[in-house]
Amino acid sequence: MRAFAEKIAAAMGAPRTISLAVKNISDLDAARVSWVDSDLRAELSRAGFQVSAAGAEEIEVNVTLSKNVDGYVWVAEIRSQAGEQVVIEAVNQPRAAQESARTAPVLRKSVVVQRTESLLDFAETAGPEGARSLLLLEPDRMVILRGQGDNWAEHEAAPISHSHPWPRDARGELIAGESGEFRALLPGVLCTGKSSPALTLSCREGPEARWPLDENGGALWFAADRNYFSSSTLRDGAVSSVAPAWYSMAADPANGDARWIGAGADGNARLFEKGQTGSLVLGRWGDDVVSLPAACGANWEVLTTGSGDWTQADQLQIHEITGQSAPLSGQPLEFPGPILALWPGKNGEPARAISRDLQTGMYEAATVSVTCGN
Amino acid sequence: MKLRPCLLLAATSILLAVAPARTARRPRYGGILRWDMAASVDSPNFDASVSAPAGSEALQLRNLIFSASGGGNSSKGTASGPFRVVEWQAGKRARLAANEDYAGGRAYIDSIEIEMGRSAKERLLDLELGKTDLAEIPAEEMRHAAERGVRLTHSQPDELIAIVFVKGRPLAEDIRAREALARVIDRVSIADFIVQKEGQAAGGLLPQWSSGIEFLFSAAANPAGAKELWSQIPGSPKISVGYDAGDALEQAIAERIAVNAHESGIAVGTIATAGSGTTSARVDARLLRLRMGSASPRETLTGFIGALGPVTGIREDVPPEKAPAEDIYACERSVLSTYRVVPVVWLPQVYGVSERVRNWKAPGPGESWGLTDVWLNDSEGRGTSK
Repeated sequence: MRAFAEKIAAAMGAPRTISLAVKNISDLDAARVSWVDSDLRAELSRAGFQVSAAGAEEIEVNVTLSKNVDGYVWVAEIRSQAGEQVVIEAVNQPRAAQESARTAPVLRKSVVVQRTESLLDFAETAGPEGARSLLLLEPDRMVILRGQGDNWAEHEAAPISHSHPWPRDARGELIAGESGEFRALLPGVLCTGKSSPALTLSCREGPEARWPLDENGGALWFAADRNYFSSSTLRDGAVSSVAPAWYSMAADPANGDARWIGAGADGNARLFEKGQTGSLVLGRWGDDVVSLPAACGANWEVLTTGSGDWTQADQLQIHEITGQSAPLSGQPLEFPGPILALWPGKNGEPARAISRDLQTGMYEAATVSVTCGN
Repeated sequence: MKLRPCLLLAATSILLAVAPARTARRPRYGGILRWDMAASVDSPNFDASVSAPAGSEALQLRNLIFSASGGGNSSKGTASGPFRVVEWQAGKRARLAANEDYAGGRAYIDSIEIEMGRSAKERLLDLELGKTDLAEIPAEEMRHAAERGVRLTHSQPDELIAIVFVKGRPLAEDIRAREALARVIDRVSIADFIVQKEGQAAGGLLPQWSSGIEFLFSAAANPAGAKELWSQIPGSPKISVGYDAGDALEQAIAERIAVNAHESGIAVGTIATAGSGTTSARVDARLLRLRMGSASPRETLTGFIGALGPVTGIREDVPPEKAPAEDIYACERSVLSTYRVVPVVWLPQVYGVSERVRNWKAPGPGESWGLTDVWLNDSEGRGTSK
């Protein structure tokens, strides 16, 4: 604001009485416009100008709050007997609040990092001497960021070798240990390494990679040249035969990993139970489903993405599994673009979501937790 | 809580929740996309050095076959883009198949079937009858298409229809004549009635959504001012305005401008010319379509001034990269104050897509059609067994 006011003041020369009118043609809300108006008046007054409402002063300043392809643009048209001048100031786009309504259960999103590069997964790790450290899995790189104040700075990176092009919807999960070791599961590729004291990375290829599903040997097998799991091996050996493939599968953490929900490539979410040969179709959910740690009730709760496609905004919703049905619970958590990946947290940790803001094009890594509200 | 065993044993799959059919997000593989093209392309091996208009179907088709960075050799027909040619009937139809080795990852759809040389009427009919999945729709037909139930997407307004004065013509060299014509045009009614409210009255060379400052250039008509200027020109001149004979929208706009001018006592005649790219010796001014090649105000201004120069004689130095917004504004104002180019209306690019098409987004200026990311809803579950 000060920079804009200084530009206006410089254009007008010596301080004098001016009239000021502010008009909004952008999508700013009334509260923000009011704040801009009063702040601009204050800054101009501080610069020595006497500011009145729009009227017949010697100098008339008409400010328009506009928007262009890059963000907000504030334009001042300064009219005086000497002629007309135009002052333009590009303004950073304010970020909208991202929190769902506070009803029970309440989903909360905490943005960890925003990047222009695409992301598959992330993990917060401890750096040397307790420094904040963030491990990022990009399609072709493993990257370590180090915390610098409120920001992150790229510290180290290692390329991920793979002989074949990734599927267009490349997927990858990062499983980080407590001592800096990690595994990165990618389509047909398994990478292992350490993030501390220096980044090491070793990758090997196989036709299909085994992705762990739970702590009891359940696993999913990823099709190396597609974006889905071609089969799954559940704890008791039951293999899904109803759906041809899975986009994701979640195990019930509180029930001895004896129940699973899979999001099938046919669009249906199915519930499996240990010892049963069939499955129960729960409905047409989004493609990504993860289990939530017990939060607000005795029932198993899962988090799912919305429906639509990647040209649309997205949301996360909680389904509460109550016997043969899975009603929605609480309010959805809205995202300003598609959720490209959703991975479960371990040991009660929050789930991890990667989304892409349709307006800015930025990739956003965030954790999603659930608490019980009123 | 356990499931009742009898339910599970009785059937392998029981649909309990009957919800409206919704599509899941993650792309599905498989299927054939049908594309009705307006253009006719004789060969897929057209040379990259031959420039096609920004955003044209021919350029989009080329981008599907030859990757800009993939080392593709167009003269040998080597596909390095997301699709490869499997059949080509010159100017009539073609079939492309997904390139399994595409560096950016295999496309989701298996193939694209292209019908070329389809008229706007045929394209609309094919969309209505479900005979095609994708086709461009003229902006002025957008409302009509929507009323007929066609699923539509459109870009931001990125194509400017403007009047350009042809350098060297006596009337075109008189700034009073140029300004009079600029002031007499009722752009709002052109946008509302001829373009059916699907376009925007244009005051500037850059649209409001791109520059944020188009509102500084008034699009309002000023018939009284036009009349005053015209009265200063001796004799009884007549401005001849050309339009592309094959472009019904240009013709309608030219005729509306002639009516606007007549109401202010300005004589304007309209002349159909062969193609918009030719300069007829008979016209003082003509309508021209200018398509943005980028969302960036500076790059658009550079492109437009470059395109206008040979016809109008406009020479203006565009500010360097990262120049202050005031400099872009000053450059735009300088060009417009010559009245050698007179913005009339902004048009969006409009696409009709079938209900089964997913992940389709109308491309912005300079963007390629995202057919590599498109998938078909009825391919759910298909393409998952290999």
